[in-house]
Formats: sequence, structure tokens, C-alpha cells
Amino acid sequence: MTAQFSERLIYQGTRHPLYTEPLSQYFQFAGIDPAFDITSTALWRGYIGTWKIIDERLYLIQLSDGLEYRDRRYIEDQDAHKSKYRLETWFPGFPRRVFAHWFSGTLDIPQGKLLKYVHMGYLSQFEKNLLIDVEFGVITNTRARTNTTQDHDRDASKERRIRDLIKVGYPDGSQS
Amino acid sequence: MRIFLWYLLPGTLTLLVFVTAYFIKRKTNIYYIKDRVMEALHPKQKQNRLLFFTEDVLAPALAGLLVLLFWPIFLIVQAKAFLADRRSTERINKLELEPVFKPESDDLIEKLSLAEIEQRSIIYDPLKAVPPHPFGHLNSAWQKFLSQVPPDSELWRFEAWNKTRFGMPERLFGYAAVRDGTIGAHFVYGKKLTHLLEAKNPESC
Repeated sequence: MTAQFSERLIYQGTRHPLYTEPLSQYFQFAGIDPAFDITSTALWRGYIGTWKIIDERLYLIQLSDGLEYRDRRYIEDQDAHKSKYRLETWFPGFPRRVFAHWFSGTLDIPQGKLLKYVHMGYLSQFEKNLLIDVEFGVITNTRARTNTTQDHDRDASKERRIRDLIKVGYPDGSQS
Repeated sequence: MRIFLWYLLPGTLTLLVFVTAYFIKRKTNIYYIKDRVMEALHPKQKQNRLLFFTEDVLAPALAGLLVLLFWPIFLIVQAKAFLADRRSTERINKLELEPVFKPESDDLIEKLSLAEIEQRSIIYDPLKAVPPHPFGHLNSAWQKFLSQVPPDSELWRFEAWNKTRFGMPERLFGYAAVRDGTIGAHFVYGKKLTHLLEAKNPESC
């Protein structure tokens, strides 16, 4: 699996990459298969969400397809494609901002220098990770983690275990 | 002799159909593509006449003869393979679409009326970026759940442990329809991974 394009988060006036996908929980609870167009192996989910924290609350403010302008001309049904990336398509009546009340989890924001590139998912290691805990769309805690060489080795071991898991199959016996 | 010739007739038709299908589909056949690539990479191998004769003449001829003589067995094997492939595809599709989680009786916390649930599930947002309906942006899913609830069912709030696809424990929050002690449809509106669990009421927001 290729390293994936991250989500985006605007926090305290600064744009950050975001290694969490809050929108996937919404589709899971709503029972929706969004069927976004997969335009790149570096974007399996088919969209890039831009999020913003305003007064300790998480909002979705934009969806995009991650394509360069000149690559969009290869899309056959342009109208249907554009429609999928409008917020109002998934959240009728809310074209500009959606409160992410469905999401609980940790927003993982990589910061600093890239220490180790991993060609899979969001496993690349940076100097620091800013972790923002969220419960039902509301920020509850903010913490930071500094990564060291020892963390590399521990995470390399975790990476090997994930690779083995993908090779062998899921716990229920099905294959990827 | 005549009977044998009549027996060979369907075998001939079978052979013709499958050979035609092979030639039509071969450009997308992975083994055909692999062979062409290997030929391009190793052109000297084409000069090996014995190999060429064995692979490209003798083997197909033997296979054709076997189909001609044993066409009933060939057709049965092909039919079984087709059905098995279709069942496998249906099973995979079912795995992907069918929800794995279902709450159990130990997960049920409290019985509530529909009015109570809908009142406490209105979500407040100062920027009004959520609809003023029960469960906010998940209201459609809630309405879909309600449409599956039989009229004489009880509604119960539940909290239940579940494992993600990668084995991470998570706590799910939702409501389930219970009728005559049997849990039917359920609706999940939130979850927390283990390390974020608190004693806080998940519905206060």
C-alpha cells in the first residue's frame, strides 16, 4: 500500500497535515458507501477533507478530490464527480461548515522534520506528533509526543507486524 | 460407431465454444500476457523447437482431444468452477456489506421512550452547523433505524465492546430495538477507542 495523502486541519490559524480520517466514522454510522472516485493509489479513500477547530469544536469545511486541475479533464462525468465533493451532497443544508459531532477519537498531527519515510498509509515518522483528543466533536485534551530513534525501532517492529497481518489476512481469516 | 459419432458431436461443439472464448479473451489472460512478456525478454527461447512443439502444439492438441472424449466431465467441472466463483464473490460482497457488530443483552443499559431519546439527542452547536433534529447529521440513519423497528418493540440504550477490523477494542454507543426479549435492529451514533474512555455521559455535548 502506498503512503496516503493526509487530511488537512486548520488549528490555531495554521494549516497542518492530519493523519486521521474523521469522515470515515460518519459514513460508517450513517451506513453510507460514498463510492468516491479513486484517482490515485496514494488516495484510496478518494477524498481529502479539510477540517477546522473553532472554539474547541471540530468542523468539516471542505472536501476535495486531490487532483491537479489538468488531470480533471480525464474524468468522464464532470458534474457527477464535482457533486461528490460538495459538502451539501452529504450534509444537505450545510454547504460551508459541518459540525463533526459523530467523531470521537484522536486527531494525529505530524510535526517537524520527517525522520523516516514509510511507504504505507500514515506510518511515516516525524519529529513530533500533536495529538488532539475529541469526544463527539468536542476537543477534550491536547498532548504532544516526541519521537526518537527508539520510537523508530518500536514502530518499525509495529510496521513489520502490520505487514505480516496484511500478508496473512485479517483475524477472521479473510484475505485482503 | 454411429452412437460414438453422435457422442462426439456435443464434444466438438464444446471444444469450438471454449477455443473461441479463449481466443477472444486471451489478451486479458494473465498467463498469455506473461508468456508474451517472457518471449520479448528471452527471444532465444523461441528457437527451442522441442519446447515450442510441446507447449504450443502438443499440449493444446492433447487438451482438445481430452475435451472431445470427456466433454461431460469437462462441462461439469466448468459449471462447478463457475458456481464456486460466483458463491465466492457473493460471500466477499456479503462480508463487506454486512455489519459484523450486534449488541447483546448484557450491553443494554436502560429502556427509554422514543420521545426521551429524541429529546436528549438534539445536538447543540453555537455555529449552527448541525441540523436541529435528533442525532444531527445522523438523523437519516436514525429514521432508517426507526423504520425497521416493529410497533410493539422497546427501545434500549446500549454500550458495547467491539473490535475494529485490525483488532483495536472500541466502545460503541447506540440504541437497539427489543421485542419479546430478542434484540433486533440497532443504531450506533458514536464510539470511543479504549484509551479515550471516561465516565462522562456520552450524550452530553
